Parts: sequence; structure tokens; C-alpha cells
Amino acid sequence: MKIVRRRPKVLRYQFRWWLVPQVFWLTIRSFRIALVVSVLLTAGCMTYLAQWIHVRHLSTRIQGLEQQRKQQTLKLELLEVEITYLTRPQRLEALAVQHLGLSVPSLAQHGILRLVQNDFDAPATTLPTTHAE
Amino acid sequence: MADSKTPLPPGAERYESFSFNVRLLTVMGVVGMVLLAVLGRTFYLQILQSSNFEERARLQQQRTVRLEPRRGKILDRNGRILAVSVPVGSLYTNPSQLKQRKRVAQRLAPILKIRSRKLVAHLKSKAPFLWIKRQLTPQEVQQIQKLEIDGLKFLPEFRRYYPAGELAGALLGFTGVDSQGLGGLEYGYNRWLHGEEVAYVVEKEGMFRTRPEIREERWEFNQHTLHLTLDSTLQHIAESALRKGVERVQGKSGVAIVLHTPTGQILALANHPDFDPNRYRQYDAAQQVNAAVTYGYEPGSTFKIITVAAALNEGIITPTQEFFCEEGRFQVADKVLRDSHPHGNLEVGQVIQKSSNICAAKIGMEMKPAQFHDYITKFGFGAKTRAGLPGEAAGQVLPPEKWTRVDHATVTFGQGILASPLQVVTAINAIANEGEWRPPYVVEYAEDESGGRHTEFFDESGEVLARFGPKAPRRIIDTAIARILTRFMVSVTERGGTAAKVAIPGYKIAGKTGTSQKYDPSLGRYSNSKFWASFVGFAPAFQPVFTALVVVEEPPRPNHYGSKAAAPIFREIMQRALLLMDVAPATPPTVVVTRPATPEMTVDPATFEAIGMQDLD
Repeated sequence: MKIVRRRPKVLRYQFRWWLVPQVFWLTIRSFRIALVVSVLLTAGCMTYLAQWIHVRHLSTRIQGLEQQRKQQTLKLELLEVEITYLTRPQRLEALAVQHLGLSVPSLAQHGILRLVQNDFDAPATTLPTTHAE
Repeated sequence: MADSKTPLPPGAERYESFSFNVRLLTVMGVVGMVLLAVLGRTFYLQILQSSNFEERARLQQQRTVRLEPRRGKILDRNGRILAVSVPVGSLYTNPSQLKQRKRVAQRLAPILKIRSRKLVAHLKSKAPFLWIKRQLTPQEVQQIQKLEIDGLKFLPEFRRYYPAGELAGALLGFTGVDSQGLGGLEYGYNRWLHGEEVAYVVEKEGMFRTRPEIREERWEFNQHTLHLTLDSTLQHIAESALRKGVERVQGKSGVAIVLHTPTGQILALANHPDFDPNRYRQYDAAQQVNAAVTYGYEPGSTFKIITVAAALNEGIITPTQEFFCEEGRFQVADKVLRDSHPHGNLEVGQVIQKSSNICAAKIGMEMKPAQFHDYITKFGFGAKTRAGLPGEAAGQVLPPEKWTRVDHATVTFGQGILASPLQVVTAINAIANEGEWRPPYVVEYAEDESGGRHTEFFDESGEVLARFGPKAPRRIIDTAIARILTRFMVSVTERGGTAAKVAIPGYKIAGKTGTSQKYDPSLGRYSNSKFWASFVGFAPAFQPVFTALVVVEEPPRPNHYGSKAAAPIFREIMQRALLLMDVAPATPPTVVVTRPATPEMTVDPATFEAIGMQDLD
């Protein structure tokens, strides 16, 4: 019996690179369909989970910002109330009289003013429309 | 026991095998049945009874605290806030969580302004959730937070606030602690102002201690904002003029209404004495009433305009027709009618100008009762104006078939008829609008949270629940007749009229004074010392912008006349209103510019040089 001694070869001769895709394809084929499906499903679920976490994160952030906006709106409303309180006509009149020594002008003054402004012949001013109009 | 090497009797193997199988099956059967029972019970509890148990669990673990919603705002025509709900903190606790209740009560009492003993008794409650005080001010909340007492917690609520204080208090009304409208517009439009109730879900622990940290915050309450036609500044002008005027003549109370003539918008509605809705509990119930629409009064001579309008429009009299005023004394049936000053013959215009009761009665009695009554109702008397103001009175007008001759005569000069101030000013506004009666209104529109405007609301069946804004006018007298009446009314404020002092230089003012005796129920007759003094008019007379009425109740003699008690208030309001709205006068004022004599000055040339100028002389 003749003994054939295997001659050592360099790796590049031992490994057949062109067989890699084939091996990969055979490996894939050897798996059962269910396994492949489950892998794909897992990958899909992972993607969905990542998206869901992202959306949740965004939603929480939006909620926080919305809350902040509401707080700011509320602060603005309170400021508006404060402005209304401070500028109520009875207060302004009292301040004008006490601190500035102002008094209600007479209609004659008003007429003179219009005369000076040369718009005496202008039509009588109609009442301003309501706030939101 | 048989040895393993001992041969088994025939059939033993089969028996052993059978016996094992039976035991195995028995055990498996039992286990299976137990499992089945467990599964069945689980199915019953989890699926069939799930809702029931969920409800029971919720009841055990959660508690719902209902808080009042945020009411909509009330704004004036310029968008100024008249009423608003501001967020405040409400203090609550679970008394079982409080340590040293007496000590806690002692520390809280001065801040909450509640007596310590009362607070201790309150904190002895065994309820798991206990309000200590609701709707605290921000300062009170801060002070309590500084105390750092365990077991005290705050929940956000809303408190109604009227930033302008007493301004239009009776018109706006007020709300109770539960955010329900209790008076004025707050009551009348509660359905739209009142938002949806807020429910906070708080969790309870095993020991029924509440944990309110978990809650749902809500800011949308589905409420509406009311936009009024009122003008805050004009309202203030009317209120301050009315207050000063009523106090000057020492009257009991007063009302002033200003309408925008072309539209019927209520620009100001003042009551004196007024009240601050922020502190409504400090006022009498009578003071919280909007007298301008709720109470009726006898309009007196202001009603003569209606009498003359009806007679002229029917063609029964002519504008230049003369009537004999019986020198101040005229007998009708068993009653004697009197004038304040005796008059002889007067033209129709002079009847208005001099305000003769006797001639007005003669004019009115030219018409049949039903004919005259028809005009009275056309001018809006005896029926609500439907201005959208709650508690509005319809007034009282006797049916014509019940009129005696005396009733017929007295109604012509505004006695024996009850009308609300709003009815009177609306009737005179019809003269200002050249014979068209325009329904007054105070709410322009309602705005929802998304900014949508609503002028109508319907119920499920399509019926109108509320209608805001202007409504269709109706013609009641001819334009020409209205113009004649305007001229008559202008003569009242001119020389020789009953209210010549009302005249405003540069403007034509159309008006009419009214003085009527008050009926005294205790005497069972008209009082000789109690009067209603009133003045109604519009300006500028021939292009009117404002129609106003002032009524003063019980001004003592000698200021009991409309010309003395009410007319000066009218003048003040009208003057400032014209100024405020920049209404141009009809005639330019005469301006004489005098240059003051200045002494001749000599300036040193060095001075010019110092300031960089040249002496051109």
C-alpha cells in the first residue's frame, strides 16, 4: 500500500475563496424556513422596538415642551390680568389727577384741537368696532 | 418481595404494566382536572368577571377628586379683561397622616385666618381626604409651604377674579366657590362660561392614605369667552359721574345707561351703589342686583316723547298744533292734573320743551286707549328687550280695556306705567334712529377655545338657546316724525327748555327731563316726598352716536327734578363720551387768540456769539 504524504500547502491554496458564496448559500438552504422567518421577524421586531423607543422619547419631549408652553401661556395670562388691574380706568384717573395734576379737557379744547389740526370738517368719528373685529 | 431472578407468575408483567398505567393516568387525570379547574377559574375571573373586578380594584385603590373647571373670560369691546379665572392652590390633607394636629392647626390658623379651635375640630375628621381651605391666595400658599408640614398638600383650582374691581360689578355678577355663576352675566351665560369639570384621580395606599402625585393635568375645559359691547373707560366715566351726581343731590340710588345709537350696543351700564364682585359676600343682596334692567320705575315726563310720537304718527295732531294747558290745573274725572308751572297755549313742540303734563294728557287722550297702547308696546314697553341681561323686568303696562279715563291721562306723562331704565333708553333710541327700534344687546359673540366665534347656540332639536350680537330692527314711526321729535327734544336743552343747562357748546343735544312721583305702598298712594328724577337724550342730535339715560331715585327736594338731579350727570357722561370717542362738534368753536404784550428786549451781541447765532438786526 502506497502511502501518499500530503504536501503542506499555503493557506491561499487550501482555502477556496470562490466557494464562500456557495457555502453561505448552502448554509442558508440548510436552515429551515421557520428559522429564517423567525430571524427576519426578530430583526423586524428589533427595528420596531428601536423606533418605538425613539417615538416614546420624542413624545415625552413633546409633552414636556407642551407643558412648558402651557405654563408660559398661563404666566402670560396672569401678567395680562395684572396689567388690566394696574391700568383699570379708575386707577389711572386717580393717578393722573394726584401725581400729574391732570384734569378732564373740556369739549371746547377738543374743538380747538381739531381746528388747529385743520380736520374740523372731517366726518364725525364713528365708534370703534369691537376688539376682535 | 419477589426476587428479580425469580420467574414471575404468568400475567404478572401485564398486571404490573397495567397497574402503573392506571396510576399514572389517575395522577395525570387528577392533576389535569386541577389544572383545568384553575384554568377555568382564571378564565372566569380574568375574562368573564374582569370588568367587575377592575371596578372593585379601582374603587379600592383610587379616589376621584372633582375640581371646578376654569370658566371662560369676559372681555370688554377693546379686549380688556373684566372677569377671568386664575389658578390658585387649594389646601387638603389626610388627617391620619398629620402628626400633632393641634400644633399644625395653631401654625395654620393665622395664615388661613381661621380660628385654631375650629381648625383642630376640622382636622379630627376621619375622612381620608379633607379640604382645609380652598382657593388660597399665592401669598397664603407660599407661607404654608414655608412651614414644611408633612401631610399638607395643594391641588390646583381656579378662582374667579375681577381685575377692574367694582367696574360693572352688577352687570358682570359673580360666582360662588364652586365656580357656578350666581348673578349678572356670570349667571345668565353660565352654560357657556362654565367649562367642563376636572377630575383628578388620586391613588390610595393600603391604609387609605391618598397619594395625589399621580394625576392628570388638564387645561382645556371647553369653555367660552364672552366678548361684550361694553367699553371699560366709558363705563368708568358713567359710574364716576353717577356716583358724584347721586351723592351731590343725596339720592338713594341711581342708574346710567349709554347705548351706541346706530347699533343698540350697550356701552356702559352703571348702578349706584355698585359692588365689587371679588368681595360679593360683603354686600347686601339688593346691592348686587342690576337695577338698570331688574327694577321698574315710572318714567314720568320722558314718556311724553312716546305720547307725542304716537299722536303725530297717527296724524291725529300736527307739529304746529296748539293746545291750551289750562293754566296749570286740569280736572280729569275725579282727579286734578297739575303742571309744575302754569302754561296757556303751547304748540306741540313747546309741550315737550316746557314739559306740560296737562297738554300731554290732552294729546294722548286724542287717541283711543287701544291705539295709544299699541304704540306703547311698539316702543318696547311691557315686554323684555331681550338684551341678554339676566333678571330683566318686562315692566307693567295695563291692558287698554282696563284703563280708566284717569289712567289714560296719567300714562301720557309716564305715571301709572312701570318700565325698566333699559326699556326707556331703548325707546328713545328709536327716535334717535329715525323711527327704527333697535334691540339693545351686550354680548357681541362667544369665542370657543379654538378661537371660533359663535353668535348662536342651538340645542339638539335645533331650537335656539342663545343668540348674540345685533338683531333685526323694526320700524315703529316714520322717519319724518322722528326728525320732528328730535327737533322738539333739542329745544329742551336750549334756552327756554327744562334742561337748558345740559347744553354742550358746539353740539346739539336732544333730551327730555322726567320727574315722577314714587308710589308709597305704606301710604297706599303716590308720595309727595319721594321722586324718580331722570334725563334721557342723545348726541349729537342729528347724527347721534350715543343715547343715554340717567335715573336718580329719591333725590330730596328741592333737587328732585330731573333737570337738577339727573341732567347734570347726563351732561357729564355725554361730554366725556363725545371727547373719548373723538366725536367732532357740529360748529367750530370761536377762538380768539390774544398775543400777550412782551417787553422789548435788547440782547447783547456777545450773547448771540456765545450761542453760535448772528444778530441779523
